[in-house]
Amino acid sequence: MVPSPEKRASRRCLISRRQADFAGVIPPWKPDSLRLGAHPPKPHIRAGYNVFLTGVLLRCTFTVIQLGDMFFKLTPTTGQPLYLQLMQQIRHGAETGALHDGDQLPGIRTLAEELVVSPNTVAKAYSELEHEGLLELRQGSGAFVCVKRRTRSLADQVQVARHRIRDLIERLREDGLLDEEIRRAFEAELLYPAEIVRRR
Amino acid sequence: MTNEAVILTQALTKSYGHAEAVRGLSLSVGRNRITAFLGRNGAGKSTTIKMLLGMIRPTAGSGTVLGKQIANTGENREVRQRVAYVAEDKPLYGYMTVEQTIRFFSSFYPDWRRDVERKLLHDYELPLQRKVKMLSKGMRTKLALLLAFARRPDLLILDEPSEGLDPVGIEYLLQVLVALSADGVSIFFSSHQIAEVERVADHVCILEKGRLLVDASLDQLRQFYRRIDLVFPFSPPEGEFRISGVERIQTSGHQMSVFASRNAEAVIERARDLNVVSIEIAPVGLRDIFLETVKEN
Repeated sequence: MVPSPEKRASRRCLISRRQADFAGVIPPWKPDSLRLGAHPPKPHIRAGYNVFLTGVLLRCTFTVIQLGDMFFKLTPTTGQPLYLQLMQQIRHGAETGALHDGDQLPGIRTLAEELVVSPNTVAKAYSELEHEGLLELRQGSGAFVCVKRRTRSLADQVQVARHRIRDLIERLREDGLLDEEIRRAFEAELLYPAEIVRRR
Repeated sequence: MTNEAVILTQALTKSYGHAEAVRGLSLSVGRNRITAFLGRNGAGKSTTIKMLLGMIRPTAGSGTVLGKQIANTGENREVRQRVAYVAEDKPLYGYMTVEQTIRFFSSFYPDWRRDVERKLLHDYELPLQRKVKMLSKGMRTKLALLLAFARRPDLLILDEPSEGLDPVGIEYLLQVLVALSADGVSIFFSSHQIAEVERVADHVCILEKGRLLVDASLDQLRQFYRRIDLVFPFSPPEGEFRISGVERIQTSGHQMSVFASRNAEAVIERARDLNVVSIEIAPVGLRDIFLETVKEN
C-alpha cells in the first residue's frame, strides 16, 4: 500500500528528527536552511536556555547554542562523549561551509559557559581538532578555523551520502520494514563502527 | 603543582556505633576538574564531605585535601582557608539581612571577588534588605552559593547545591560552576540532579552504602556502558555471556538483555556466534547507570 503524500511527508519529517536524535552520528542542524539564512541570529544564551527548559520538560536535557552562522547541540544522554560531539559538529560545519577558513570560534571559557559544559570538554575538542589541523589555537586570541580545499569538497560527498541514505530508507520501507526497525538497525550498526568493522 | 589530586583518601572509614556510614573509601579527585558525587540518601556522601573538611574524625583510614592531612588540626585550618564549602543545610545567621551577611563574610577574605558578588546578586535577584530568616529555601541556597563562589577558593566543595532551586536557578548555578572551573577552581559536589551532573561533570563517583561503586570519567561512561537486547531462536544460555564487564543479565523466553559497563563488542560477537536473530544496542544514560549500580548492590 502506498501511503498518501501527506503521510509520506510526515514520515520523512519524523525520520529526520530521529536522525538528529542520533546526535553526532548525523549532525542535528540543517545546513540548507542555514545557508539560506532562515535562522536569524539570536542571542546565544536565550536560544540555549529556552531549549534547555523544553529539555527539562521532556526529561532529556540538551542545549543548542548558535555561534555566528553555526548551531551546536550537545546531547548528554547519547553514548558519545561530549567532546566528540563538539568535534564532529565543528568538523561538519567546516565541511558544509557553515564555517569558513579564518573564522574565529569562541574561547574555551566562553563556549563552555554558553553550552554549560565543563571547560575541559571544550578544551579537549579544540586540542584534538588542532591536532587534526582543522583549528589553529592562538594564545589569548582564541581558535581559528583552517579549512583546506580538500575539506571543502567533502560538502559534496555529504550531500551525496544524504541522497543515498534517503534512497536506502525508501527501499527498506518498500520492503515492509517499519521506521522503528530501520532506526534500530542504523543505531546498532553505528554504535560500534570502529571496533567491529575493523575486526571483520 | 606536582600533586594532581586535590582530594585523596585511603580506606577512609566512619562508624557510628555498629553502623558504618563510610566503608574503606579510596577516592581521588583530580585538579581542575568538575567531579560529581552521587549516591542515595544515607549513602555516606555528607559524612565523607564532613570528614574531608575536618568537621568529623574518621574512624579509620586517612586522606588529604590540597595535600594536607584531614585529621591534622593545624593543617586542616590551612585547608579551610583555601576550600569553600556549601553545606547541605546552608547554615546562615537568620537575624542578618542579605547585605549584612555578605559584608560579614567578605570581611574574612582579603581577595573577595566583588565582580562575582555583583554578578550573582544581579542574576539571583536577591533582596539586599531582607532578613535571612525571611528568605525562601531557594534564596537561602543562592545566598550560600554566592558566599562560596565569591571567595576565590582553590577547591569548592558543595553538598547538594541545587537543592531547593528552580530550573532557572539550577541553570545559573551550573553556569557559575563552569565559569569557576575555567578560572582553575577544582569542584567536588554531591547531587541528586542526574541530568545536570551529566552536562557539566568531568568525572563521576557513585557511593552506595558507604562504598565507592563507580569512579569514572563521564566520557568513559558514555563510551563503554551499553544495554544490549538480544533475541535468539532458542532459550539463550546465560552462562555464555558472563564475561568481564557484563554487570547484569536478564532473560525471558528467547530474549536476553545484557547490561555491560564495557566489553559490549565481545557480547555482540558471542551473540552472533549463537545465531542471534536481533541485536539492539543502546547507550545507557547516567540515570540508568546509577539505578542499575544501586540496584545490583
